[in-house]
Amino acid sequence: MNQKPERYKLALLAMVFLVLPLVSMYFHGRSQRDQTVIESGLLRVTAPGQQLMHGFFSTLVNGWEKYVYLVRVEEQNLELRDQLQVLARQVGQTRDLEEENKRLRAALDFKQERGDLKLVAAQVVGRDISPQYSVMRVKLDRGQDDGLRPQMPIVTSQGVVGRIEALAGDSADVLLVTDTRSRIDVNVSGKNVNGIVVGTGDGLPVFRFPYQKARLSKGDVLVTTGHDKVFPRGLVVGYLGHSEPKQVDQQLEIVLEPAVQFSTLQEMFIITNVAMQEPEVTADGEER
Amino acid sequence: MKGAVRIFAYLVVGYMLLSIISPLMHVLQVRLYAPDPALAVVVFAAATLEFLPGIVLAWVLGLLRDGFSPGSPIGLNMEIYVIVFFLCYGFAKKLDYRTPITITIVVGVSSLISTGLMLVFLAIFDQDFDDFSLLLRMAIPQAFISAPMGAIASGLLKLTDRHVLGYGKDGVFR
Repeated sequence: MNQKPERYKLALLAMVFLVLPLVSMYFHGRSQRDQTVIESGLLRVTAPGQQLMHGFFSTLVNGWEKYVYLVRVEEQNLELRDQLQVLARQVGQTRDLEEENKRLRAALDFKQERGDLKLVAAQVVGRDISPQYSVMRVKLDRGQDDGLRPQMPIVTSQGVVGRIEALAGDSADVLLVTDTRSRIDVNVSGKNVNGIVVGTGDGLPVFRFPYQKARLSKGDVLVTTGHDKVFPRGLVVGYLGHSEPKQVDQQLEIVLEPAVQFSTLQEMFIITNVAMQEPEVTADGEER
Repeated sequence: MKGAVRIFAYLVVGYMLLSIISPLMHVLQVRLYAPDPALAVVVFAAATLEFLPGIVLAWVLGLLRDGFSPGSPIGLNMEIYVIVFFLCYGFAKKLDYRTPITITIVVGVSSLISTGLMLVFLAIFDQDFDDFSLLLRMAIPQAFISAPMGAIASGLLKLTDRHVLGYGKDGVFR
C-alpha cells in the first residue's frame, strides 16, 4: 500500500528532471540572447578541467616533439659529420692538387728559363730520415734505363738538390747537398766571393771560403760556378744564414740555408747534358 | 551518505573524462568526431545505481556535458542523458550488461539514440541550428567512437567503487 505514493513521487521527480531541461533548452535555444548565469557558471566549472588537461597534453606533445626533434638532430649531426669528413678529405685533396700544380708550374718555368739544360723529370719514391728528422737520402724513380749516370746533378725550380750517387735499372740514390761527402763550387752572387758548400750531415750545410775583404750579408745567394764539372753554372744552392763568418783552420765558414726544402721534395730534374768527369779528389781525400 | 559519495565520485570520473576528451581530440587532430564518455558513465550508472541517484547523476552529467559543448542549448544533453538513463535502467532490469563487451554494445546503441534525440531537440529548440545532414552522417561513426568508452568508463567506475568507496568487485550494490 505504501509503495504507490513512493512510485508517484518518483514519477513526479522523473517528470521534473525531464521537463526542466526542456525549459532550459527553450530559453537557451533562442537566437540573439544574452549569456545566462547558468552558461557563465558552467563555463567556470568546465574551463579549469579543460585548461589543465590541455596543458598536460600540450606538455606531453611538446616533450615528444622535442624528443623526436632531438633524435632527428642527432641523426642529422651524424650525417653532417660524415659529410664534413668527406668534404675535409676533398679539401685536403684539392690543397694537394694546388700544391702539386704550383710545384709543376714552377718546374715548367724553370725548364723554360734554363733551356740550355737537358732535363729529365723524376719523382721521389723513397726517403731516409735521420733521428733528428732531417732528410739524409732520397731515392728517385729514374735510373740507368732512363739514360742516367752517376754524378749527374739534380735540381728543382728552387735550386740544387744534390747529385746521383748510385744507380739501378729504374731507380737512383741521391747524394744530397747536406751529405758530409757533398762539395759544390759556388760563389756569392754579386760579391765575387768564391768558395765551396760542404755538407755537415745535420741538415744545414756550410759555405767555406778563404779570407776575403768583401762584406757578406745574411741572405746572400750562393750559386754554382760550374768549376766542379758536376753542376752547371748559375744554379742556386742556398742563402747565407748570417753575415758573421767563423774561422775554421785557415778558412772562414758561414752556415747556409739550402735553397731546397728536402722534407717536402716531390718532383725534381736530373740534368743530363753536363760534361761528366770523375770527381776530383782533394789532398784531404774529399771528392770534388 | 555513501550513496551521495558514490554519485559524487561518478561525477568526478565523468568530469575528468569530459575534460580529457576535448584536448585529446585537439592533440590527435580529430575535429569532427569525439567520443561521449559522460554517456558511457550514465549507461553504467543505469545498471549500477538506484533510480533516484541515477537520474540525478544523469541530469548533472548532462549539465556538465552542455558546459563542455559550447554552442548547444543548455538542457540538450541533460534531457538526452535522462532519457537514455530511463531506457538503460529498464534494460538493465532484464540484462546485466556490465561486462566490457555488452556495455560497449549498449553505449554504441545509446549513442545512436542520443544522436536521434539530439536531432529532434535541436529541430524543436535551437533556432540557429540547420546542419541536420551533418548530424545524421555523424551518427554511426559517433556511435563507433563512443562505444569503446563504455568499457573504459565502466573499468574506471568499477575501480572507483572498489578502491575509493570499498564496494564489491562488480560494484553491484544498489
